[in-house]
Amino acid sequence: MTERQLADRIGAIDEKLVSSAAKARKKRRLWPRITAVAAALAIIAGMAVYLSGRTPAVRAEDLMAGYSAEISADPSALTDAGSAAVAELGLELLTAGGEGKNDLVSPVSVASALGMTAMGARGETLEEMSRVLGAEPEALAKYLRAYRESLTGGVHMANSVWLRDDPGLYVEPEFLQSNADYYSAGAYKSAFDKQTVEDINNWTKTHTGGMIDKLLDRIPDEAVMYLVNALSFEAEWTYPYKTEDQIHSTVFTTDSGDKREVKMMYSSVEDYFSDDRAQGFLKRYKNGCAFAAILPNAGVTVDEYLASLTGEKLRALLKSAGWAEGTTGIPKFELECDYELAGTLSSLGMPSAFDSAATDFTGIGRGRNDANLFISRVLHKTFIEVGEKGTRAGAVTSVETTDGAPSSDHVKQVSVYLDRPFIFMIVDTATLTPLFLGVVRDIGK
Amino acid sequence: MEDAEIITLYNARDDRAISETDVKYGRLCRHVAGNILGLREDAEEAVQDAYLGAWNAIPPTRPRSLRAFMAGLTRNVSLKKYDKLAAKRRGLACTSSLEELSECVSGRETPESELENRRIEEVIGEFVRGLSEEKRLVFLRRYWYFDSIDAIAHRTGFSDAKVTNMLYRLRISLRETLIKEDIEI
Repeated sequence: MTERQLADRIGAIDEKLVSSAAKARKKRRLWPRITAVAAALAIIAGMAVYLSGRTPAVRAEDLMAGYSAEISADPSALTDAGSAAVAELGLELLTAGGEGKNDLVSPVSVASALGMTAMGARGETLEEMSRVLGAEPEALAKYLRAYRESLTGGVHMANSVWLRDDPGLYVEPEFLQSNADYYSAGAYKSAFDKQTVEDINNWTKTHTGGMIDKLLDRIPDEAVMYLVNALSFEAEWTYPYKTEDQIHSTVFTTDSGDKREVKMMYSSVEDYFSDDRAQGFLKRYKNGCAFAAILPNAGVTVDEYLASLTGEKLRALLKSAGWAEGTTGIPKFELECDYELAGTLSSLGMPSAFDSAATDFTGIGRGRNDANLFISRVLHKTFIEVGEKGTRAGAVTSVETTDGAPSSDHVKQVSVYLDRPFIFMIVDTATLTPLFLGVVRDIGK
Repeated sequence: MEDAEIITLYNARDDRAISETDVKYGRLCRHVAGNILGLREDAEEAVQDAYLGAWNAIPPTRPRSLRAFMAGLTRNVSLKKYDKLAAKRRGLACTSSLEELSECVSGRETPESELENRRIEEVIGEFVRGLSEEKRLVFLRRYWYFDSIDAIAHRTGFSDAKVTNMLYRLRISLRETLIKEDIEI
């Protein structure tokens, strides 16, 4: 039989069945926010040390018409070292922030925006950026390219380069080509006027699924280039919280002892891990990613624990996750964070990228009057919402801490309730690369 | 307009039957034709041919479900058009679905008889009826409506990977069923 003959026979299936499949849609969610949604945006403004004159308003011109990716993704580039480097960058950013408030960064998003820029770094600037990024720009680019290709449904990542339409600005074709090759970045030449602000904000909104709708209020006269990465994530739990019995009000206690009321969502442990100072679990999404939570043991603050973590340690901890029996509790929460990372990145070891005198971005190009290009701002916006609707008042819960990794000989009975400050991540379970990494220190009312 | 009223228009040879069919099922028909043929103009031609087919078939045919009847007509017309266009090597939308179906069969053309075709259709019908609601939906959307994996994932809320995996298992299962029922694959 040929496939066409088979298709004809399938075509004769009972009308009722065919009709029902025409109407069937995914079931309406009982709780519209059983999903976790998250978005991140990193933007780097490359600026030249001159004030440009006003240029006539034009709509963005697509500069990538002549550029297309000339290489394909190489799955062998998805190395543990690449994943650890991205995780390490995220941890560095988190530990540099902190100070009692909630934090949420997207290591993948920041690495992508910085990675695009680093493709044009040379000399000392290149060396510094490679150190902070944990990899040479090309190795990082290969990793991120393969990573982007490996992502499944619900994760969307996009990159773009925006250039001021000014005859005094020269951009190296190799820079645009390498960003096309590795980052599939769109590049647009534009007047950098109000229309450009609108265009960049619209691009942002589109590529974060509407979660971040405004990035810029205005474009400074000095700005000549924006490199933007947008990342959005939306997924349903593999095992959703189906009944109201799984959701109770409980108390979240901050490090300073303040009590907050939160809605806690309880379910069975899926994958459990622990070390001598913390325990945690993975709760999986349908799209192959997981929410990973780390709860430091009583007496250990999240900042103390974070300070002891490295990208390698974090990966090892997540990889040790195994079967256990017990209960987990995740509070419903929502975070929105807004960072300017230039100072942080400079202090992490890449000061020359921000210094108009010391910078070397000659691989990107040159400003008018042969002026140096340098980074003035790194804007990073993130958003996450985890939870669902439909709750009822419930029990206060207790925490039972345990030590050591779960043994295969004995099924460990555990309870991990995130009712005090905790670290969380959204990772893809194949590479364990953190799409998002955050700290909840204070939530609830 | 209710299906019964539209069928009454067909029976009365009132050409509003076509426009009312288009209002109610035009989107569905264009979706099915588009999934098979890809190009808008080819799909539109197939939909118009399907309307003509409905005009010629009703009466005497009285469809139980006008929705399924129109979708089926459009599917048949579009697949016939696909055969002609495929010979000319034009880019066609349902090629990947058909390639997947080739995993269930030998690829050798078998002689067709009305009786044997009906038996095969009954076996496939039983196979589909025996599937869980989710699997049935995924199978029909892919191999009856020729939806893309993306579209099925969006419709069902499953990930692309899950849909692909389900379809793979369904094809193995269908092949096993056909062999078990002594159907010459």
